[in-house]
Amino acid sequence: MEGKFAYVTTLLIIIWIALIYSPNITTEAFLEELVAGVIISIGVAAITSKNFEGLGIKYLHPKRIAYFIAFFFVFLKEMVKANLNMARIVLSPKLPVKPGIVEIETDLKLPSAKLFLGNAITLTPGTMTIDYSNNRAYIHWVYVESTEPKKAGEIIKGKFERLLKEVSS
Amino acid sequence: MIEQILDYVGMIFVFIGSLFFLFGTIGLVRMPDLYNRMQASTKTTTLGVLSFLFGIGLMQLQWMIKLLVIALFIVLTAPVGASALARASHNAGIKLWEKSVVDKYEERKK
Repeated sequence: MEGKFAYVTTLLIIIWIALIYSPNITTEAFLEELVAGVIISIGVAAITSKNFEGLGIKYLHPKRIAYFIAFFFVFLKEMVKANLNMARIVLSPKLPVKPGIVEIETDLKLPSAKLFLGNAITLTPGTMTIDYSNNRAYIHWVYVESTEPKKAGEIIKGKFERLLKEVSS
Repeated sequence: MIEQILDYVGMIFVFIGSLFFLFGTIGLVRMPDLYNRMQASTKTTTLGVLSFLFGIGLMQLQWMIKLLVIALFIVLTAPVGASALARASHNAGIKLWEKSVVDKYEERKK
């Protein structure tokens, strides 16, 4: 409990400093903002810190960070692809859509890993996560290529899941 | 000199961002049902905002850190919001387009 509280407070203060800092801010103004930020961070952390899981320096293994960075770049690339794909769909006169909601399975166990997978799916080509129930995810797909959970899963989440498994293992 | 170059590069990013907003809006009008519309608008506006913020950051370098923090929060929250809205609409009984091929989520509820 104590540990979580400290981590959340520190994280919030770091974010706050990133938000208020600018090269031409006066020291006085910076200190004023900082004091307000620290007070509010402690208040927010006191209320919300019990809901966080998996916080702590011990989770920051170099291998994990490396895989997370790899995940991030794959994610960025897929996001750009998704947008070009979407632009192509909305601009083509025939509107080539074949929508549907498919079901896929995931082996990821950690809730936070599932969250990242869901977010990545939502922002990548033609797919949007609708719901999770245990290890099944329901995905809305603009152009359904396969309704079979295994095959659809490979197309939708293939790369992401492999990288996230390394991060969360 | 370097500032001017950054200015122009920033403008290009802002332009690309607004282009994506335009595509998102066209998608919003043209797509057949709520879920497809949400797909069009969520994806394009997320990348649009990122490109926009990055462009502004290049024009005004002292804002870069703030803008990157904002971009991070948008990437983390926009898809969660979209999922929550889609799920809520499905549970509220909004139908898929009649030409949709499959709805496993509906089948599960039965």
